[in-house]
Amino acid sequence: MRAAVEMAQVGRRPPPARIRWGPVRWMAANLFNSWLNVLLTLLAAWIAWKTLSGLFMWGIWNAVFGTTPEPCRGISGACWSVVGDYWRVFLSGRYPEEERWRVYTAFLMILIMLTTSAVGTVRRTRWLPALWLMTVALVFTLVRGGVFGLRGVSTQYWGGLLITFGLSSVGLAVGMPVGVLLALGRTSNRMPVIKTVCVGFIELVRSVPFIMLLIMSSIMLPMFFPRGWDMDHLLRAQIATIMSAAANSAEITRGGLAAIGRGQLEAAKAIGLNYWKMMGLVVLPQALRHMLPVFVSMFIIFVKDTSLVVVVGLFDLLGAARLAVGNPKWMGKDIESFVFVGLVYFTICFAVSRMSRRLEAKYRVAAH
Amino acid sequence: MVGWTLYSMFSNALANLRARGIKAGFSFLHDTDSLFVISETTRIPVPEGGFLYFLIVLSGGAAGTWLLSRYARRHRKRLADDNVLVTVAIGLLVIAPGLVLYVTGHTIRTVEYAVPSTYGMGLLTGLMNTIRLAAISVALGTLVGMVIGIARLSSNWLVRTLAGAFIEVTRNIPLLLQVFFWYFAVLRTLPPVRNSLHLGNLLILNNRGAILPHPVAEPGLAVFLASVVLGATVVFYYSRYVKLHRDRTGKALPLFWPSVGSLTVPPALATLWLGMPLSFTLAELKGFNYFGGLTLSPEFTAMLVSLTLYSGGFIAEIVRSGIQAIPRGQTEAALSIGLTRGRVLQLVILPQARRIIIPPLTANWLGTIKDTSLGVAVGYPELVAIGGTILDVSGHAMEIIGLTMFFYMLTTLLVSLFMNWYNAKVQLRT
Repeated sequence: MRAAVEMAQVGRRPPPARIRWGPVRWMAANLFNSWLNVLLTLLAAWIAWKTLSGLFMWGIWNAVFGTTPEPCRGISGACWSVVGDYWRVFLSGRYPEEERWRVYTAFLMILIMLTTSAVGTVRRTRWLPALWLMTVALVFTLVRGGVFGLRGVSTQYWGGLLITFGLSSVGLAVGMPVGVLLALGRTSNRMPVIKTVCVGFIELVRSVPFIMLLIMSSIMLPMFFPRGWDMDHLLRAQIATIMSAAANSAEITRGGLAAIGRGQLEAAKAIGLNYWKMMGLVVLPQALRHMLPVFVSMFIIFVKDTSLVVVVGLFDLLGAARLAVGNPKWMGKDIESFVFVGLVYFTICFAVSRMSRRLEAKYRVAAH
Repeated sequence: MVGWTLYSMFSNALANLRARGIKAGFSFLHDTDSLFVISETTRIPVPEGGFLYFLIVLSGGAAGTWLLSRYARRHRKRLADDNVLVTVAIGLLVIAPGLVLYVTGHTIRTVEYAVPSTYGMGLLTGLMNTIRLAAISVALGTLVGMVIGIARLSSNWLVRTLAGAFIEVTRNIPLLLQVFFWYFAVLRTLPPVRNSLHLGNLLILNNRGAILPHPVAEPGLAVFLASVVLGATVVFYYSRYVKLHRDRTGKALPLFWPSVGSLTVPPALATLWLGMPLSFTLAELKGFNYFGGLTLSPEFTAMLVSLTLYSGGFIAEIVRSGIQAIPRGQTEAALSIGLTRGRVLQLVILPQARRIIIPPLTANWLGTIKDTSLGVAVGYPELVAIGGTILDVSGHAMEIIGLTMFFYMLTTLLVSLFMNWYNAKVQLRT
């Protein structure tokens, strides 16, 4: 009885006053709520202030923006002129000066395709894959040249962001389907020979550093072909990226396949689908949807890992930065060059990782 | 068809090698015709005399422990639950090899790569350099990652944001770019020896690298180490007893201060009795260079710093997501039964987070071991770099690449076996 009365009184009490979060109150609750926190806050504020003010003074306030090295003498800030002078090389490597418009057009085409593909109505058309194939073929012809009166440009002059993107996206685009096949081969129990080959390839490639794969494909690959065959250096690096992409996406696919319940397989078999139809129509569409965010983060890893082609003598984005400071004119401008290239990499990878996180959230909602 | 492709590739390779006059096989490894200089060498113990005994006793101990665990399993016990079995296992794995090393330590002979030498020695030196770099950077990277990962979860907004910025910057910039940055833009632009940067005499930076004080063993070191082992053993058994007591009676015995005591008091007594176990010789400028310090080359320092930061960023993210994956209800339930915040973390959150953290952490460690191969880009003489040099000089491409791949596969296998074992140990048993 008494409890009921008390309950009734509680019910009649006004709700607790809402806390107004002013900046002072917020700081008191989040930054200065204990002695340890006060200490940590002061330390963190000091580090942040030192870093940010140092970066601002060096990178913007005292910096020189231009295209010639002369104004940089005796300044305390950054000399961004090296970027102003070399940005074309950062974009396309040692591509011939008067033909660079072809690379820029190619970048523009890819950019237009990417933005239009994001629009829902375009994305739902059946023409999209064909459109992409056409674009890729067009881009390749444009950059490679040699037909339609375009001057042929050998791959040894390709470089910069062009091959950073080229190697990683072609690597993924070719490596992913191969990886899916490898994963299917690995999980199949009826073909022991193929299974062994698949497991061997996946484990071998995954346990070896990517740099070893690059060195291997640039030294050992030519040995496997009859004498006199000369292989393109860019193609050798591309083969290494494809191998790595295939092995890694095989491992991802295996995880995706494991997430599909046995019931799905049994149901597909029960309605009389054969192996390929069961996989292609029932299992893989579901598995690939789960794996999409992982593949996006794999793309980030690949954009970063293609920087290793510097070791086998190609000039990708990072190689272009080394090329710039190798010029006596820009000697000692290593920090500016590397910081700029680092900023480019950071922007790409950060943006793509945010996209991957959004995709992940979207599919998690859709799954439940 | 696959077989035919493989066969024709193999026969092409052999034909190509024959055309260049190179014989297939591993015999080239012990011909004394390695004439290139390796900038950083490590002394390698020769498996004979004391080192051989040590290896034999250690592998015997491992085999004995394995037999013990089988014996325990047959009697439906777990090795770690039985005090007698654990004691025997520790004796076999730690104490017996330690004793052998102590008794026969003076007979260990080491060799060092010096021109002229064999290609095999060159490869071994590269292997040792890889292992040294990998071990230190894995340890430091894990430490950095733990600290930053916990800072990322701090209630302090500023600390949290700063940690987040560190994670995003280190994770989203290619490792090779970071290596180049530290090597070409920072370490190579340091002043020459005459104008070195100083932090007292403790850290000296110049364009020949970083120089730290060199630790020198004093006579009391053996006793000191023995007392540390003694303290650790006491803590080990005492914490087992505490856990057993808690499981049986529900009462918690004090653990922290007794552990601190037994870990510090015996070493302190040993130090008082026999003097400091280690002394440090500081580097001194004599003529044109510093002598007497522990010199880390610019290549090693650049690799170490960038690997530590890069893997630290990834491990921080692994730690953060592992802790955040534990549902809030766990914390709330633990708080509501009256545990303090520290105990909640120690008894409820961390044991569960550990299970989530270990698999990606293992993958990250393996990645770091593989990433040491980037040393080839700045001239740190690790396995791939030396392998590449030997390959250029001798032309034995297949053998060198095969050996290098074998090493990486072996490492991957060993680490993942160990971590799988540890993972199985901490997972929920159903």
